[in-house]
Amino acid sequence: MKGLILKDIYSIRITQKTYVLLFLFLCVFGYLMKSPGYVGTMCIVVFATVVLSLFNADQYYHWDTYAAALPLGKRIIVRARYMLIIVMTLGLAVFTAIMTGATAALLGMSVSEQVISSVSMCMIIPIFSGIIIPVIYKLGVEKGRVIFMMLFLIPFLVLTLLKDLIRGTAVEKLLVNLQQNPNGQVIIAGILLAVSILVLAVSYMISIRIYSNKEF
Amino acid sequence: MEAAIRIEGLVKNYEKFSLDHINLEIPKGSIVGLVGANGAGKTTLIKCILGIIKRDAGEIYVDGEKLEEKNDNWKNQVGMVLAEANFHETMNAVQIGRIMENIFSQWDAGLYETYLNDFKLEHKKLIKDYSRGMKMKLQIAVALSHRAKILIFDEATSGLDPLVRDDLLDILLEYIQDEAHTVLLSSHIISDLEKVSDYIAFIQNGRLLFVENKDEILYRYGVGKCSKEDYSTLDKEGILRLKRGVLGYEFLVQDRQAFMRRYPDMVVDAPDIEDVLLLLEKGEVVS
Repeated sequence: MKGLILKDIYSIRITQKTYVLLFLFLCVFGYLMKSPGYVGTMCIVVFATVVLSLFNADQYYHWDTYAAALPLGKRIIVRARYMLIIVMTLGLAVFTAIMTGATAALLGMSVSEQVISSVSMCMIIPIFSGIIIPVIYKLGVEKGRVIFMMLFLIPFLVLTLLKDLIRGTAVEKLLVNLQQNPNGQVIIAGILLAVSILVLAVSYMISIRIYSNKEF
Repeated sequence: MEAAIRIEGLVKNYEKFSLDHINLEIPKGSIVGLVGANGAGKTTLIKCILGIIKRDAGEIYVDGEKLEEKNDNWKNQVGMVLAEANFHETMNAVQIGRIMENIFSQWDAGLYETYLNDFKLEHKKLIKDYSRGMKMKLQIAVALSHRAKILIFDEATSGLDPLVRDDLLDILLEYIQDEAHTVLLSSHIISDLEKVSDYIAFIQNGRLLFVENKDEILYRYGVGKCSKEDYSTLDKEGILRLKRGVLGYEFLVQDRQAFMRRYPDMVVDAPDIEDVLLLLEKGEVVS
């Protein structure tokens, strides 16, 4: 499994400098927009792009055909990809925390609030990945790209509709209380973490089943 | 002779093509050339052996051990070169070595380094900047560097210039000096197979038509040429294939010596492998 993770890291490293520059730009942009959490939000987009590019490269070079003949087993191949997602998410969360905290401090905002909010956004990465990866295994990278775009649009649509639907209801009151609660952000972060773990676990089992039956 | 790979009753069905009950034994210490036209089933057969695709029926044994789908440890013994699959070209040979070191249980980094130097492959050059021959040599370096007992090459020499092909074939001949090593080499470049193979396995439309010792083919088989009128006087027993041409007929016999004793006036030449395979592929079936 280590060899496979190494392969993906080498694959990402090619664009590493570009990503570092991008993140630095996002930090400056977040500072100028007085929105330290901007980095956390954009991390999701960048991460999803990285995931798609990993699968794209494997498809382009017919790596899956070669890997199927290696002494690994298909479970290990899938497991390595998910392990990488987890490690990258954690790494991004730490990076986001540092960048957001520094930006918030420079802007004189509450560091802890901004960091928790920004790191919470990173918890969406495993949810997005958990949805995209089985689609890619089943239907290919191109369909995965379409789902990726839908994953950004659909939540906006749903939130817009829900906003009007829950107005004046007990659900709205609960959400307002949560926002105003000093521990509200931590609770939301905890919920997101739990959901992301669940989604990733289910996604992993689905991906194993799909990939085990794939032929190349 | 003990078999490095033994295939029994292998079946793989697709919508418009099937591997039809393939039985094949690849003797240890030999080079078996697998030949057939495009679409004959060479790659499908190799993919079944390597577990890249699932077989619908039949069994495969590697070094006497029956292959089970869940256990992939046996693949440590197998080195492969697949023409259609390659390494990520944004990497270099050093990175590939590090990856493989963490995949193969018997990876030998020193041996890999030696092969990279022998093949004159630049260590830090990106694979996308390698020529096609260099990419193939890199795959071979990887295949040879984890002490594999069996090498499987699928169309590895296709698209390469004669000099590079010659280099690769020399590498195979050197590899086979160790009698514990075995090679299965699939190609439609018959001259390559003629140069290095001990056995030739001919596959056509998913069926294995024959597996013969190469020298036996060259010694026993014969290609006869005659006119239409002369052909009509022949007893068809022993004639495998017939090709009707504008200037005359060409036919393949399985036992040249016996045929020449029966028809001493008939012109029957010792063939090369290409002649035999072309007649098998394109000739009419006679007997």
